[in-house]
Amino acid sequence: MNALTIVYLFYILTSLYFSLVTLMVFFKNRSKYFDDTPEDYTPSLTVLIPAYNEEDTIADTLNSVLASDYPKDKFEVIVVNDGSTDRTEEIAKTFEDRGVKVFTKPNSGKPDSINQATKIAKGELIGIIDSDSHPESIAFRKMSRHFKDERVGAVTGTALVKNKNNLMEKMQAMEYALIAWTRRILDFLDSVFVTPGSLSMYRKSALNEVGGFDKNVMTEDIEIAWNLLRYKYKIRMESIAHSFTLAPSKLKVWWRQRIRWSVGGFQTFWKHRKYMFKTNYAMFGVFVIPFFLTHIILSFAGFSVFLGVILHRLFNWVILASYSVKAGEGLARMPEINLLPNVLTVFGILLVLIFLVGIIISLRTLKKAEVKIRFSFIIYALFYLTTFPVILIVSFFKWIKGYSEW
Amino acid sequence: MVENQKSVFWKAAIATLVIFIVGLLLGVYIESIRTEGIQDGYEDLELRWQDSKLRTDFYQLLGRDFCEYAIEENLEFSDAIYARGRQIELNEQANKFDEKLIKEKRKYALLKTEFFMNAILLKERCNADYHNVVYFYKDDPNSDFEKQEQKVQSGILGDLKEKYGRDIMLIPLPIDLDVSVIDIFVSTYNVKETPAVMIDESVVLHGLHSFEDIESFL
Repeated sequence: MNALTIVYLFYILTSLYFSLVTLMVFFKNRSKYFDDTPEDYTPSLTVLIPAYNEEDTIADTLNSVLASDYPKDKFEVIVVNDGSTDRTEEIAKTFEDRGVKVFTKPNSGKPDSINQATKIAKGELIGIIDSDSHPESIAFRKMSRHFKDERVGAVTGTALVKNKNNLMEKMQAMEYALIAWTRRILDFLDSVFVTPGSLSMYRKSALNEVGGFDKNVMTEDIEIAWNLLRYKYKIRMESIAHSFTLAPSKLKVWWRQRIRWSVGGFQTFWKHRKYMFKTNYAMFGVFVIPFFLTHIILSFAGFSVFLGVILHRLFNWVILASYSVKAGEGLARMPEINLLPNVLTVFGILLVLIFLVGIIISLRTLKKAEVKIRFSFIIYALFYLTTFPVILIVSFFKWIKGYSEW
Repeated sequence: MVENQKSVFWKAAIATLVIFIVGLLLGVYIESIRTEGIQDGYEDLELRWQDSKLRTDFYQLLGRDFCEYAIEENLEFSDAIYARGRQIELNEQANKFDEKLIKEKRKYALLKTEFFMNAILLKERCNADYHNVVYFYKDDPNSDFEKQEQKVQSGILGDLKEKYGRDIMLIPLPIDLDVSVIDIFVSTYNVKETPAVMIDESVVLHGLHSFEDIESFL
């Protein structure tokens, strides 16, 4: 058995384990997935909408937030205008007569904007909404009830894609649905490790206790979640609180976003690495960080195996071609295709099937995502997902070099 | 919440191990079936070879003309043994546990040497007009360069066989399987490197040679 086979089998073993954990947790808790306990708990809430040059989207977002069924006497909305140079402030101010406050400050980035706005927020809870996201009217009320448990530091909602016109957007719609589905599963394991900006809510006292959002990390929504977990706060996921967000339509924008997410992931991991395997931080030390690290290792290992095989084949093809030319033969002899199955084929097919089952279940569970299993599904499963290890590798080197572009 | 879920980690670990072990066993089983197939194939060929030889010997005892029959048998055997060789190669590529089917390959190599010697004998006794084309190669090349060079040479010889059909006996012989009779061929015919192509036991072409080069010696 050669080294490549051993790496492949390790990849299979770990991927199989995490896939089975995910599926088993889902099936064990399927009836509780959309748990809608009737009791309400609505303490005062301030919704912060950080915005930088968002003149195209801010009005729609404000309309969605203002349509909330949260008790109006406990509901405050603040647009945090982070030094926008377009009409964001002007548009936001047209909502002042509906109770919206506009807090304008010099540009200092999203984490700092939130930190500053938190200081002036009156709410006991802080809701954060990206300026291109649209929460459903019930979202805040459904999320706030989890804060009845004093150890809950944050609650995140189900972020889904609003625009599903081109292939790029459809891919992301599937991805968001799959992420939301797995996040709910992680919730059953007390291991939600990101509170995305498209819809999240925090206990203000918890934010103050952990020192707010870290300005030096590119994914403040991952870092704050890890920080809360480190302080032994619980993070819940509310599956019936939906928020629809605008996904990048262009490859270049999508690529930059993904690089930022991954670099932020590395930064967060590095900052909290010393808590790995520490049992006194509950699931954070024994599951969240190791899970994150395993994901990185698997991506690297998978990509290395794939790249190694491709490069080796390419190298051999070049040698073959040069010998063919030397012998006066045609450049391209038909490559031999060996279809005999082996243990790697068996495991490979099994893993792909398990993964496809996961995708199908997630899309069927999250009907509101309105993602149909059609042609784009095949593209997503076969091609889109394979770009992730590439993004991770590129991000890794960018992180090493100190990448900090937003 | 997680307290109710902890058993899932153990259950998943057990399920993973079970699936993994079953998968590995299945993989080993698939490969062993393939190896058995090669062994059966070898036995069939060996039986056929013995049968054919005995028939030729018996015809000789009776004083009957055995040449036509023997040449025909040899040619058919040539095709069969070539196909079996390809089958072993493909199986070896696919196998992950039993990667080197050395024993089976040595047995086939021995059968091929026997066949080669018979081809020489028939040419002498029966004035057969086919050409013996022996291809000396390494079963386990030292580098990707050697491997690809052999692949090109092997492809050219395959094209030659396709063009000339039963006018040539193509006999690939691996020189590195520790088969002493092949070692004797190598020293007798002064084969210095691989790939090497020997035509009618008289010309040895070392290194990579084009279709036209080899054809010019036929």
